[in-house]
Parts: sequence; C-alpha cells; structure tokens
Amino acid sequence: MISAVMPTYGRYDLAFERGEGPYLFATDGRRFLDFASGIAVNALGHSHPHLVKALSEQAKRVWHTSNLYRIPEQERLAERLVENSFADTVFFCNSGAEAVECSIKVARKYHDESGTPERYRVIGCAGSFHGRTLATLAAAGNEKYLKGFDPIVEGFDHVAFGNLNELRAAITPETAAILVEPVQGEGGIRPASLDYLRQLRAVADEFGLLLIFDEVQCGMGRSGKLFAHEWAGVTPDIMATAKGLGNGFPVGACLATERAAKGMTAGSHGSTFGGNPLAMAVANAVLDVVLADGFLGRVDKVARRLWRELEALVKRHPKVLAEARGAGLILGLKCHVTNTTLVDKARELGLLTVGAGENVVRLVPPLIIEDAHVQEAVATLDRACAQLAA
Amino acid sequence: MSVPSAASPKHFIDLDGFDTATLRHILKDGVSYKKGDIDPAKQQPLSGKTLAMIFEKPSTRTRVSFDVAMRKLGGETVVLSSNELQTGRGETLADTARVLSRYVDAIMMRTYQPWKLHEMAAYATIPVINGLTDSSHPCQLMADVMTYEEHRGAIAGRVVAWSGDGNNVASSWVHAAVRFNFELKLACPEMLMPPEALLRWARDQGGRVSVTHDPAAAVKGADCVVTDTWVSMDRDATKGETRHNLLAPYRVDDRLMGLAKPDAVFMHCLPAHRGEEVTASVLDGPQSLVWDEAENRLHVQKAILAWCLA
Repeated sequence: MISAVMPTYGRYDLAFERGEGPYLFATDGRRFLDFASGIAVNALGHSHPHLVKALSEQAKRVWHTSNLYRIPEQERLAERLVENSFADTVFFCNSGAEAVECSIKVARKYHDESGTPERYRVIGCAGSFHGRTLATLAAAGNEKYLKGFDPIVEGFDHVAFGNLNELRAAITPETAAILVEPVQGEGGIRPASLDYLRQLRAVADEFGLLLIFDEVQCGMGRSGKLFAHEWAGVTPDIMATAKGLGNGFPVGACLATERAAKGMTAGSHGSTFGGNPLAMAVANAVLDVVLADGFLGRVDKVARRLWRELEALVKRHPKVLAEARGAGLILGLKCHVTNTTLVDKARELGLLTVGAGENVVRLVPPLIIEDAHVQEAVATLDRACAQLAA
Repeated sequence: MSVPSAASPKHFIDLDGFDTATLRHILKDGVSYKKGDIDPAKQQPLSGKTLAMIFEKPSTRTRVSFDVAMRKLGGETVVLSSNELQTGRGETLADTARVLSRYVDAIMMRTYQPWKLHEMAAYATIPVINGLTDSSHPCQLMADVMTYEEHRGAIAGRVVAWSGDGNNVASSWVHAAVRFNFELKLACPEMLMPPEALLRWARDQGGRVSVTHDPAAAVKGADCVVTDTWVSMDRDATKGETRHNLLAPYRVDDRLMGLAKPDAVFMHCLPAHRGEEVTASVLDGPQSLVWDEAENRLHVQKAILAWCLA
C-alpha cells in the first residue's frame, strides 16, 4: 500500500525535533553536526535568532497579499540584491527550479523581443542539475532523472562541462543561451575553472548568446563570495539563486541585467507565492547577516581550514577516499568505497553529510561554522573512514 | 529542418561519412596526380566545370591549392567571401545554395560554424566540399595521411600523437584514425578537448583513440607527432593569455620529439608559430614533413574534386 506521503524519497529512519546553529537534535535525543544543511540550504544554521525574530514579527503582521500589490519587503530585497550583484532586476519565486525555469524564460523572451525568436535553445553541461521541473530536468539532461517522464521538453543541448571546443561546436543559429553551474553540486562537487567561466562570457558575447549561471547551490556566500562567479571576475546576464537565500524558508530568485530582461513585461511571468512578505522578511534577514562586515571573509577562512583538513584526511585514508574537491564551503570527498556507506557511517557517528554524483560525499555545512566544528567534523570522518577501512 | 529529396550529390563533408575504400580511392588518385601517373594537362577531366569557393575565414593553403587544383584539371574557380555574398545581408544559406547550384558545378566552403556547411550541403544540388569549419578539416587530413604514407609507408597500425588544442584538425585526426586504422593518442588541456560525442563515436567504431592531459604520455613511442597553432584564424574568443597558459605545456620541442620513436615524423597543417606550439628546431628540423604536407593539399584536392565531379 502506498504511504500517505508519496514515496518519492528514500528516507532515513531519523527525525529531528530542533536545531541550534550547526547542530540538529533528533527525536531520540541524539545530537548531529549538520554538514548537509538541508542540502546547502541552512546557510546560517538552525534557529538563527535574527531570522527567527524576522519571521516571527512578519508572521504577526501579514503573510501573503499576492503580487497584485506592492510588497515593500520584496522591493527592499530586490534593491539589495541588485546593489550587491551584476543584476538590474529580480524576479522572486519559491525554489531553485523555478528560478532556473524563469532564467530560461527570460533568455527566450529576450531573443523573441530582439526579433530572433528562432533562438530558443539553451546549451547546458553534462553532470549538471537544475531542478525537478520538466524544463529544468531537460536542461540538465541527466537520464537518471528524466527516465519515465517522456516526452523530454525540447530546446536543450548538452556539452561536456569545461570543454570550450565542444561548446563552440554546439552553437547553432537556434542557440539562445548557455546555462552553467559555476560549481556543480549534485553532479559531484565539480568547480568550473575560473578561466572556463571567463571564456563562457567571451563565447556568449561572440555569438550573441545570454549567459546564465545557476547559483542555486553555490551562491549566497557558500563559495566565500556572495556569488561564486565573482571569483572569476565575470558576470552573467541572468542568474538563478535559492537555497541559502531563505535559509530554509522556500524562496528563489532570478536575477538579470536590464538588457536580458527587456522582454519581461507585465503579464510575461508570475508566481502566486513568489516574493510574499514571509519569504522576503526571512531573505532580508539572511542578507543582513551575509552582507555584514567580515562575514564572507570568515566563510572563506574557515573553508580554507576545512579544505586543508580534508586533504590531510584523504592522505590518511587512501583506501576509502580518492580526493577532496570543491570550493569554499561546497566541498566533496570522492570515495573509493560507495559514497552512501561513508554517508551512513558518518551519520551513525553523529555527522550529517549528503551524497552527490561521481561517488562523492558532499559537505555543505552552515556558513557559520567555526574551527571547532571543522575539527569535530573531520574527527568524525576520520573515525568513519577508519571503521570502513578496517 | 526539412531537406530536399533530390538525388544527393557527392559531397565531401567529413571523413566519418565515408567508407575506407572510398577514401583510399581518393588518396590513390592523389598520389597518382603527384607522381604524374594521371596527367591533368592531357586529361583535363574538369574542363568546363566551375568551382565556387566561399571563404568566411582567411586562407592560404586551402584557397591556393583548391584554385590551382581546379585549374590544373581544366576547370575554373569563382572566389567569394561572405562579405560579398548576399548572406551577409540576410539571404539564407539555403537560397544561396539553390542559386549557386544553377551557376557552378561544385562549392568549396570554409566557414566557422559547421551548421553553415551542412545547411549548404542540404540544399545544394551540386557537390559541397568542406574546406574547414570550426569542427573539422577533412581535406587537410587526406593530405596528412598521404604525406605520412609517402615517407613512412602504410599508416595502419602506426601510432600518431597529437599534442595541443583538441580543435577541428584534431577532430579530423580522430575520424582518420578510425577510417585508416591507426592509433591516435591525443594530449589536450581539459578546456580544449575534442567533443565528447566524437570520442564516443570513435570508441563505438572500435577506434583506438585515447585522450590524456600529459603530452609526454601521448608522444612516448609514437610514429608521428602532430600539433596545430594555438590561436586559429582571426576569430577566437579563447585567444590570448588563457590559451597560451593552457597550451604551453603541450609545445612540441626537441625534448618531446625525443620521446617518440627515433624515426618519428613531425606534422603541422600550418600556419605555424615558431616558439609557440612548436619550436623552430622541430618545425625546420629533419623530422618535419610540413612542406610536403602543404604541397600534398594540392594533389589530394585534385583527387577530391575529381571524385566529387565524376
């Protein structure tokens, strides 16, 4: 008999009753150090007082009005995102998938508005993940997630991640945009080289394409900068962000330049819940913390510490681990053993991690972790690896 | 895209589209033209025929060798640049192909994006020859195989090492490796690899094509070492410092050549930039076949033209 909750997830028999900073407390009393963060969502950890206060206060005022009316908190958040990014304008939605879907629509509308409606195809990269809607599944092109959902949404081509020759050869008169994650998360924590990101900009300009970065997972400070592409010193035309933006409150955003968004006029796109007062209050509170002086610098510092520790861990356990990879606090351990066995063992010992493609264990801790948490996580992984190697 | 159903002319697009016997037949004729066994001066097989040559990219060898080859075979050429054609003002390639098919007997096209060549071939009712695209350079490879065999005998079973950009010429080397049954070891930077789909095609065909990021590993024990310029033509978004940094470890110098077999040859489709992708000592050294390689473009192109227009 089917469960009341549609059985689309393979769930662990584990539930949490509360969280505090980087820790989660299970209903059976066990404490876990959370290096999964709800899959890179809880950027400020659990029960962050500033966020709790912002949400509670907003909940007492107004939850939802629809976008038929002005939403002051939405305008404020949009202005802050614009002020701190390449973008001139922002559309708010409820998830990363919706943010990517909006990005694709913005790109298609741009070309339609430019008198080149035949340019509708988007080139994506093998190994990417952009969400679970029909269009974003097609954009990623991963057969594992597409299987059984035919027909596949038309209009997407795929090239190897990081290969410029292949990208150039794939461009046709129908190509509208290039869609790339600066750090592939689900695909196995694969950071694009900074040169690759720069060359993507050059190729997009050469062929008149729009460049879309999917920073749903790697953005919002996770790389040590507000957005990961900033490390490369280039800007996209459109960007999707979500996850850390709401720290667990469902919110996504599609950011664009004025030029790219020229077709997005009244009625061209919408979202019932997108940008509602509750989500905006939380996201503004997240930005209060992330944009505070010194916050991103501390993220970068602790990330480098964790990176060094993970590299040493790999050397200590060559039978279990193949390599450490990633950028900032979106890190991965490529395994010789099956990655799920390490995820399970670490969880058993009190550390939450999450699997990713290419047999990688993903480490996406809250950005608020300190050296002590790094030490605790690495010590737990040490024990887990030792037990698996035994 | 709908494609006309008229009987297909004999295009020369990419080596993967041919069987080995046809390519061998063309090569054999190329050798005969060079040796004088087939004397164009007497036979003039393309007398009365006209070849339109469309250039979107600059060209030395392709332009001159096709022009001279056509004339040697008794034909004539019309040289067109995209600036001079109405395509520059929005006429479709399909319409251009239809019209040119009424004026001339074959089209040689040198363009950036492969779709343009395929579009031309889809709508032309006369042969279309690939004079180079961003994806491939099959005429060059025919000359390269001819040149290798001229100096070292059958290429089948030999090991060819490519060190550098996994570009259009490298892609045609992949096609050639499968069709002419030699082993190809490519050494390319990760950002400049040949397309994954092409490598998959080679594997599916049973081709012995491998890729590494280590030039020494690719070149070790090779019979032939090949490279190409780092910055191709006048248009390339990836040119500049990045490209030089990526490709510097792939430069073919005496040390790298020393890892190949003692009688290994060096090939390069030219233009070459001494001190960049290859040192002067290699390019101008005793193992270099580059000038014969350039000359053989002429002879093999006579054979390609004759085959297309036969």
